[in-house]
Amino acid sequence: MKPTHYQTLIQEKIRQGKSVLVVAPTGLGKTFAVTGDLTEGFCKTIYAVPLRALGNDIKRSVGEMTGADGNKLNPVIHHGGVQDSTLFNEDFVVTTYDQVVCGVPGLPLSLPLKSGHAVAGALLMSRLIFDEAHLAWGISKEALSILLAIAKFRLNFGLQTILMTATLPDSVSSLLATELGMERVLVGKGGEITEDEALTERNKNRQVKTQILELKKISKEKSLDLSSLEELFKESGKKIYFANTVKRLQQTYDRLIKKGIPSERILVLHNRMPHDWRKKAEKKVNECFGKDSKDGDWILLTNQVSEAGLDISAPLVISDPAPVDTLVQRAGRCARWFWDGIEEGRFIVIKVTGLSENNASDEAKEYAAPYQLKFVVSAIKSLPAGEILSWEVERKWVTDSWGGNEKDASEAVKKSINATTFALNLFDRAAQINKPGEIARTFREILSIEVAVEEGSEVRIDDLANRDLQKKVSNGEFPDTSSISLAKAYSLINEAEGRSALIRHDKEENQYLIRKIGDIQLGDILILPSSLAYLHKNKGLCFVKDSSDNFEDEDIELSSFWSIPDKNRKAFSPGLQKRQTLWEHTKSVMDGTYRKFIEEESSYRKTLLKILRTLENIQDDNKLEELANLVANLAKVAAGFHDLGKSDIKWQKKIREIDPHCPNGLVGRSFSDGKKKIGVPHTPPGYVATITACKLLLGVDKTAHPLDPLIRAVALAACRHHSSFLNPARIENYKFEPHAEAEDFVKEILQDVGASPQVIEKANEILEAAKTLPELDEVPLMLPNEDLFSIYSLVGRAILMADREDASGELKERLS
Amino acid sequence: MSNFDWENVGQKFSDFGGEEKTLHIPKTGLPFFDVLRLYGAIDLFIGIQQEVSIKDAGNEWKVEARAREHRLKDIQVAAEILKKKTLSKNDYEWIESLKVALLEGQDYPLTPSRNVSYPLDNPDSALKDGIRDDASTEYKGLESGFGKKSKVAFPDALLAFAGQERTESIAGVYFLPVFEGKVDFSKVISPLRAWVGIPNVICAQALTLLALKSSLFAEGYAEKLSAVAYNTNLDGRKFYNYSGVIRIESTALAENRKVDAEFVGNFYRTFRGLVGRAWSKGKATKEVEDALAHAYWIMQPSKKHLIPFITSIERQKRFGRVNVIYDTKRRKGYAKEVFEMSYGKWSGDHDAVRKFARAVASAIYQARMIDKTARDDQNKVWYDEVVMLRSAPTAKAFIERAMILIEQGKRENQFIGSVGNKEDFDPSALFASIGDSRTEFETFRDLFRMYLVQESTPKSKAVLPDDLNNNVNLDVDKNNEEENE
Repeated sequence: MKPTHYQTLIQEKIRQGKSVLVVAPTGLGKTFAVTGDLTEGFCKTIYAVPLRALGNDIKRSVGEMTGADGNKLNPVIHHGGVQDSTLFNEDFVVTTYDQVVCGVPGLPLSLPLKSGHAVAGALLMSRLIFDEAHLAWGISKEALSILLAIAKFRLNFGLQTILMTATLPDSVSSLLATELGMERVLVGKGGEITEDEALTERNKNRQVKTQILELKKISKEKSLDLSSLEELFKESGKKIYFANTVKRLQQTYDRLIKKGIPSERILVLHNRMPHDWRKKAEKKVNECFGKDSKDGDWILLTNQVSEAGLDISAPLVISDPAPVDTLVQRAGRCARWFWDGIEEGRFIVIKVTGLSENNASDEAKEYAAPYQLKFVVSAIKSLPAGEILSWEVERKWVTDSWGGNEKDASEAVKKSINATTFALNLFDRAAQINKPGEIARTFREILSIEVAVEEGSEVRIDDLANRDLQKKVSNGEFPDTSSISLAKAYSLINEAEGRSALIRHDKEENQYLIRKIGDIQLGDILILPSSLAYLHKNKGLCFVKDSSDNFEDEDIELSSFWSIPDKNRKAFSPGLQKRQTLWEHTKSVMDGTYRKFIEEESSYRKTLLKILRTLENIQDDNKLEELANLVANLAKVAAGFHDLGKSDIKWQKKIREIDPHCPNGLVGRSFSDGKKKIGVPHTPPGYVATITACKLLLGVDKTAHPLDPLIRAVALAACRHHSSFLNPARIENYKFEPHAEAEDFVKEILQDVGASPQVIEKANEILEAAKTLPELDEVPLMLPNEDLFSIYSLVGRAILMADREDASGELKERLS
Repeated sequence: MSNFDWENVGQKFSDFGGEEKTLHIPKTGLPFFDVLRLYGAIDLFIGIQQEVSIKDAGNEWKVEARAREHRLKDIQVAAEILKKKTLSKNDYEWIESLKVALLEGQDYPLTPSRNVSYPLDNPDSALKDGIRDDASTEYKGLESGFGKKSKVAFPDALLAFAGQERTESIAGVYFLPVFEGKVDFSKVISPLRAWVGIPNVICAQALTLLALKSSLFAEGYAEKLSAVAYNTNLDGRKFYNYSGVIRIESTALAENRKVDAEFVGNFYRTFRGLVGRAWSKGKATKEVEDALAHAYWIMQPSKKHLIPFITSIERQKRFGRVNVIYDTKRRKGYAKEVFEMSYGKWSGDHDAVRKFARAVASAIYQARMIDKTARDDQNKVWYDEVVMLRSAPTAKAFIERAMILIEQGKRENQFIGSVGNKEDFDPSALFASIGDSRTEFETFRDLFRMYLVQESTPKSKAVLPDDLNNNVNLDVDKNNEEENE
């Protein structure tokens, strides 16, 4: 695929490692602009979208690209609904904002919390792309601050970060770019690129006229007169209707059926349908509305899931009233295929009588929900009715719609940027109490819960249950679920009054449990009784109180379908499938860790250099390389002591009881069926041992040294390789008793890292120190606000990955 | 094997983390304002990402740390935000003077001055309202703030503005912890994780102290908390707002009182629950008195505050609440610790008094409570007996009442006062502890009351009197645990 002019410019900037704010219209290939360079060389990428629904198309389009090695790129999707990533090891991960936002401080949502620092490390090493960044404005003021804080945090270290949007006023995008230190690329007049062949073609061929359709109340009747809207549905040709809520979408379906439109002609696609049904619906939508689809009288009833991300088009697009960014996205699905000649289309926005900011009618408010009324009012007020929707018109519409508030918007951006300390404090607070929910809840509007239904007036998990759901869960079966917002989930739980249940993943034990409702958390599957909700084959998940369906109808199902998922969730357990001496294992982890930081082209090395340059303000490249080498060697020492606790007398005795055929010498790994547990921790002594060894190696063992904080960060990363929460000063009832062979083991480590004979002779000193617990205030917590958090995360990830790679015998992630 | 040059690399990077700095921040005498300025100076000149060493040198704060200069906030940008307009030549001059003053301990710039207004928000109530009858608008002279806007020097305003981000508030009272020694500030971010209804100032202060202290135990910083500065900002009472500093050494949480993390944690959880119940929708409930008694004792654990505190604990127990004397989570009592916090070292025999109180507790249970089915009825009769005991005018009357109870209890259960029940008190040690004088008796009585609460753990009804292996004091604390947060 040949990039257009603006795509070329963006790719050039990206190749140079620059961070870019891209402002371009829909349909102009923003995704290719920021990922096209991956065909020429490797760059670990994390692509964040605000809605899960947007991920599939990104995955599809990136998956069609061929990398420099001749293989297709293999992106994976990872969010609350689909978890195809393992600790963000993959080359290209498409994920959601909430996953990124919680991953940055090491509190991942849908990955093991105990490996949080490794997830934080992966994000640091990756190009991070935030698509549809403008959506952060609508979520909450904290959400914008958090997003900007993350961008600022990364940009401070020179880590490549890309924000993309189609709908920000020029002044706001300019301010953002300046304040964050990004390069803006605005396509079009007054922008950084004025001429682009794709833009020219778009403006020339795409003839989309905007219109307002006013719905009025029939006099003396309470309901709105919908006849003019229904007339539109009767027109021939393809039509897409964007409703703001699933409820209205389902009501529209019912009305069209009543009007005699055959159900075969109506396609319904929204987020509240079981995933299998939704996949089928998406396929059908693509067949009928995708590129090169045949003509037909299809009607697509859809919502936010199609307004961005789905590559579909129709000559007639109707939309509920919404804020300008949403309307621009929806308009982008009208007459989208402009490359082959003139494409005409109509984009009709519904306006309900009585729409005003201060005194809106109930109907107007209902149609504008869930959006904030003032944004909807300003979008409708400045809608360019009767005009052809060129990019310039769109930009003017966006600017006008922000209207007098553009100044306020700039102020809001400034305030949000100034409030980024709040965001980092929030990260710290969440990290101190290990609760990603503290952060996630500020993104609540885009968070969702999976829902299944079960026939009956109550979901029972006792002897009175229709089906033994616990047994199903234990057998690895799961219901096909639909997504609803977290807020809706809360209201349904209240409505259910204890008659619902939920399935929860116990992350520490890696097992699923079913329980009667208590609190609900992200990642839970909520099971509602059919007295509250049911499934309709065309409409998806319906709520009893909103619907008048007949339960005898053959399109209705009262219980969700359960099955064993095709692909079992990837357990990221090290497994004990290999017999190794402790030294064999340790040596392998040391070499693996060191390689990640020393190889010139490795992502770890490149990231480390950027971080160190910023932290220490080093301009001299040689000095910077030397400092990076120091960190690489400290990390190697830390890797050497990461399993020091295994050289403990009790640990060695236990492992031999479990596997009597272990090799001679200190055992590092054994065969195990996983049923017998050693029950003796092996990570705590690594902290003090690493610090003592590093200080001996540096010849500063007797005194405080400026490198101490760096050594502590690296040591903590090593002793936390099994858990981000371990505090080596807080190990109760544990005492490290070195085995008789432990001293020789330590000597081997020291020899391998190039210690002098004098230091090697002090191996016992290290073991003696490792027997002691550090003082509590000598153990840093390594919170995101700390300068060394990024180095800690990176080293933590390197040790964890090297450990896993040794266990599995294969490389888990690509370095270059 | 690596050939890395370990020997010289330490020397090569001896400037890692930035240059060493010492800040001198002169005090103004306004307590909250001074701490705000301390945090502001750290934020602007060192950065909160760094480990700092803080010393209170009387007339100034002395702060030592390494600072990554290039990562610090831009002081001129901060000044511009505060001033709300572009900086003038004069502004650049005083900013420079401020830098020199802080870093080199030279003359501190006290001009230009500015009215206190947004974004610097109420840097100290004493400054805002002045000292009544001795009016002041400028903190240099403390003239009246009534009807006028108070003025502070711009350099001070800038430091205070930068420090504002670190304040925490409960119910209109703003707090800043004061540390001394080596501190990593990222560890002590937002230690106040509690939100409670509308306590009064003293309760807010006590709650903050407990929240801070329990949080700092977790981070290993408990000993470094030397004080808490506060500033009230109570709506509708603007002329009664005030600021101050609570020195930790004057409270029950002082290091020399040997408080441990478990005691503070239990006290915090219990007190948070109590304060939460003491006000409902802005109105005081019957538990207000108890909350205040707890708060006064925490703030100043004098003998004067101990008696109402003990009474409030007894009352809490009467209402079936968990109490600070007995930690149901850890099955641990703190009567001795609480007593010693107020009385210091005592010459009596704790063990004898505790065992005696335990015997009395068993006796009350066997003689009065066992036939009551409702827990509230049991609590009521327990409290009636406690009132009887504590109102005994003399040592003789007290012993008589206690012995009558034990006698009556023994009729129901012969093992009261036995070794098996761990109630085998030593009579001679007990009488020696009661002492001869009225003062000695009152001291003993305070201690006894606390032990009685501690040892009056809920009893199982399923007691087999003939089975010594079944301790009659079998704890069944689960019933009580649901109230323990």
